[in-house]
Amino acid sequence: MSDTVVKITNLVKRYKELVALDNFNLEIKKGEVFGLLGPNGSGKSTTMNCVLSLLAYDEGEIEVFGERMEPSRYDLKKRIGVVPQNVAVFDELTVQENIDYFCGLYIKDKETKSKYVEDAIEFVGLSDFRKFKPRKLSGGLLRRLNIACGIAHKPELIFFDEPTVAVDPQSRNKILENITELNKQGATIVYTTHYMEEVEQICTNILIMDRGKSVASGTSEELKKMIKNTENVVVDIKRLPAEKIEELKKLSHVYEVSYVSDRLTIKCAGGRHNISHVIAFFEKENIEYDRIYSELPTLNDVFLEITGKELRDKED
Amino acid sequence: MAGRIFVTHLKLALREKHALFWTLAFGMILGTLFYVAFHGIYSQESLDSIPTALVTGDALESMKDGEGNAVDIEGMLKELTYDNGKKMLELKTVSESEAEELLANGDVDGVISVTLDEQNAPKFSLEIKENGIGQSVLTVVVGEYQASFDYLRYLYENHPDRLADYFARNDQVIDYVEAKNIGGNNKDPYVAYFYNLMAMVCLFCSLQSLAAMCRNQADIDDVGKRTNLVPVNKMVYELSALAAVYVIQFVATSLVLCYLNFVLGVDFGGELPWLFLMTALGTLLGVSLGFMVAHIGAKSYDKKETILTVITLLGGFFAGLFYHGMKAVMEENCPIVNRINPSAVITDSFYSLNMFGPGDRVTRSVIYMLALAAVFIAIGSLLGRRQRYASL
Ligand SMILES: Nc1ncnc2c1ncn2[C@@H]1O[C@H](COP(=O)(O)OP(=O)(O)O)[C@@H](O)[C@H]1O
Ligand SMILES: [Mg+2]
Repeated sequence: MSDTVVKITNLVKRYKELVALDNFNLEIKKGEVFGLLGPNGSGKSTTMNCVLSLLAYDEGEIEVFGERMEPSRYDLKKRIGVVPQNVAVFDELTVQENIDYFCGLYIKDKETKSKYVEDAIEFVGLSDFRKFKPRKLSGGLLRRLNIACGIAHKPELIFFDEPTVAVDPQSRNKILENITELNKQGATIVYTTHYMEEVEQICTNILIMDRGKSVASGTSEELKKMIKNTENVVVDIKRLPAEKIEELKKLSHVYEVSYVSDRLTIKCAGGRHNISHVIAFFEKENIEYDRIYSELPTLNDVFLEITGKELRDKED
Repeated sequence: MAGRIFVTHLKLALREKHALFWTLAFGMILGTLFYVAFHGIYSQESLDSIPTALVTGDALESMKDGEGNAVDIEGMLKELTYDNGKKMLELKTVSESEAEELLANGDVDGVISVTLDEQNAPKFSLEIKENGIGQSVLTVVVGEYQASFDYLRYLYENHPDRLADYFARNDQVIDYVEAKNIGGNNKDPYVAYFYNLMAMVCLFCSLQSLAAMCRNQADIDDVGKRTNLVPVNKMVYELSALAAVYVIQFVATSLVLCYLNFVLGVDFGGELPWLFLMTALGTLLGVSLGFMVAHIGAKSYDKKETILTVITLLGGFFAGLFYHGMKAVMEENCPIVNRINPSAVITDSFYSLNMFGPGDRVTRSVIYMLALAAVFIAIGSLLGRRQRYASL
């Protein structure tokens, strides 16, 4: 048996004129934490909903567990867990009742179900809130309930659609820990987000998408090797004349210099000791600066270099 | 699995108090209003006979009953009595011009005219100048007469074989429309408004089934995304949820029935178990109507709710909730509406229960309501068969 869990081939999805997915391809292997990274509106949720047979698509093939996914493939659905982008629980039911209900739709045996529900409550850390109605929960706890409802039946394949959006840092860390833990327990994870740090933190394999297309894929290291950017030297500096910026650009290995709100970013491709060259330049020119440090490129740089735009929204 | 879905949806329906509240509140408040409005009328010991002019021209001469006798509409009208035995109408048979004058001078409350249409069927019309108790009673009387004659005509044209049966049961034509049969066991003509009210209450149940069904739709409700992903057949899921809504709503409609019957003392003119059966079937119609509308393509809950509200209110209007003669008017001009308008169908069943008591006609009503509910559910299922959503 092949170890491919999800396979998408030439998927096309249109909303009227808008092409939301444009010949999109993807393959997810068993045991991966697969990160689907892209800015808002790039088509992550659309992809997920197509795979789940919620959404009709125009062209393409979708296979899950090596079989064609259809709305009536209840046997496949049984093995899948989903944590949708928006919290999807019944407001009238308590935390425990919600988890119990959804788990009960997958697990027939009453005892097993009860145990699974307990596990799920423990797992997401909602033990103190089991009798709470969703309305009474904070945003972060609500997200955890949303997760518990999606994973209580211990599925083999779990989809998370931006589970950490608008979540306090504590819940966010808990959620990321949970996902890693679920993966350790054997589940294959599909993780959708526009936060590159999260993807770098937990994903074993990453696909970057933009405007319904796959832009690049691989591990975080592989992705970073794809671009010429190898190092960014960042300097906090109060005032810098424009001609100095031009001179900085002439330093070897430097290919781009930007100066925005007192922060100078010098992008370098290759070369060693780039930071010492910059320091030497400032000494020579007698320019004062506050802080200087060197950064490795991030996935944001990968995205920026490939698409020419920022991955993250300005407001994030 | 179905059991779990059912039980949880019972819980949901009970905790979602709005829907339950509206069914109950609507029935009780409007029922009380009707009661206050009509009670004053028919509880008065000293109800006056209503001065009325009757214009028949020579129309009646050419109208014969089964045995060739001219139908004595005048006699029938004269025999109408209130509960306390007092004559209902103070009838003067006059010419058209005299009638106009009487009405203009306020000497009569209304003019009842009987004419014949092309098929020699009697057409009743009522002319009134102002609104008052007398005029309201006349409106009801004329509406009932028209409906009764129309029914006879319907029998005559479509089931002549049943006519004999019918006459045997009713002695002669007149009996059917005679005063004591205007409201069957219950002689009070206003009871028809309470049938309409019950129909309306039953149809209000559709709002809760709509709400419950829309929650299962991924393009309307976020919870719907989850319920579309569970490994349970969609129809099984929806029908289990629908059954729960039905049970809860039946409790509500039954409470309204009890309130009208026991608290207000409205006499529906049928035995209690039968009244509950009619209420149960009416609720079923309401709930399945909501199910059907829930599966109409529109991607918005509000749109569907509007559609349903329009159906319910228009249905109520055509069935006579606001003007009792309306159903007769529809029967004459567009009978199909009365067959598929759930409000009219429910009103009719209560009506025939009162009019005929348990028997063939009521059995037919029961079967018809079941069939119509089945049609609604079938249409809903067909529309909801769509396997994937075009957009979320
Ligand atoms: N129901 C819809 N109707 C029309 N356009 C839609 C609809 N849903 C999503 N889109 C569009 O499709 C694109 C992809 O959306 P989505 O998959 O939600 O992106 P993401 O999840 O990556 O933020 C966006 O341009 C969005 O505006
Ligand atoms: Mg999204």
